[in-house]
This record gives sequence, C-alpha cells and structure tokens, in this order.
Amino acid sequence: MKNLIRVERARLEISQSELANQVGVTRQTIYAIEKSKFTPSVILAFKIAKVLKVDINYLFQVEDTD
Amino acid sequence: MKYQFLPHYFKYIGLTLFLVTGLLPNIESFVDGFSGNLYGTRSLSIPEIFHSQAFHLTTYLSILMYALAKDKIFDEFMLQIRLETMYIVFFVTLIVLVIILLINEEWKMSPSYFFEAQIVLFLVINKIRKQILIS
Repeated sequence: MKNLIRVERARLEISQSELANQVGVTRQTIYAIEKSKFTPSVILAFKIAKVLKVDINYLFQVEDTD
Repeated sequence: MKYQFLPHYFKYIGLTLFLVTGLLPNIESFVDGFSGNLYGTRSLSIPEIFHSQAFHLTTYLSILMYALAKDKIFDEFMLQIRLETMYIVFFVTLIVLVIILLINEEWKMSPSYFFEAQIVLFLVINKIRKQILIS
C-alpha cells in the first residue's frame, strides 16, 4: 500500500515528530509508514488523514500487489 | 484487540532481579575459577537459599518481566514488531529442537533452560528487528 503522507506533510510544513505527537504514536512509526515498512491500523490511518486534512482514500492507496 | 503489557519500569525491576538472582548463585564458581581452585571447591560459601528452586524461579520470572515490560516508546508499530518476533522465536526454537533431536535422540533439555533460551532469543531478535525497521 502506497501513501502520500510525506507529500501532505510537506504541504502543511509539519515534521514527522509533530505528526506523530498529534496522532499519538512515535516518530519511528510515521517513518515506517512513509517508507511502507508498516501498514497502520484503520484507526491510526483515519487519525493521520484527519491531521493532514485529506481524505483517507487519497492518502492511502491500495496497490495490485497488496 | 488490546494487549496488556507491564509498565516500562518493570524493565528495570526485571533486570535488577535478574542480575541479583541470576549472578549471585554463580559467585562461588566464579571465585573458585578466579582463585585457581577446582570447580565445586566452594572457597566462598553463600547461604543455601541462593541455590533454592524458588531463587532460580525468580531468575526466570525476572527475565519474563523484562521481556513483557513496555518499551519507553510503545505504539502499534512496536507491538507488531514484538508479535512478529514471538512468531519467529516459536518457529526458530521448534526447528532447533527438531534438528537437535534428529542428531541426538537421547538429548534432553531442562524446560527451564528451554524457557530461558526462548526469552533471551526473543530479546535479541526483537532488538535487531527494531534496529533494522527503524533505521
């Protein structure tokens, strides 16, 4: 699953740490999600989309290989 | 599903207990070896309670306490790493057990040593996987 967290973070000019604090996880978790090393839970995905003010379907996109 | 683990400070309690209960019974052997005496000479004598089964049980419980305590940073990513590590440890120990039994049918291992080996393996693999996935 690919995601546009990095792009949206850059748009809003917020760091990984700031996003992590707002959604209640560690910076390492945000890093792992951005690098597609970890697929977040539905709850976390919704929280991230809310903080980044975008639709969850836009932020997380399922690939054919998933 | 919520997984309940021990609070972070149990890491310190577990480690302290492990160092005390795990190392204390071996002091006699260490002193024997250090002073050049034969193994079992017991040039230094510690109270018999340190060799009791309850004392050994505390050692295993302290490692378990350490392994089950939350990390300083703990969220769903850390939880997934931990659960995957448990899965790996289960299969690694199973495979090792089968291989050893194939080599030596009469091989026997104390359940407590097996348990201890599993926990140590868990801690090592968990640490390595965290380093790999976070860096």
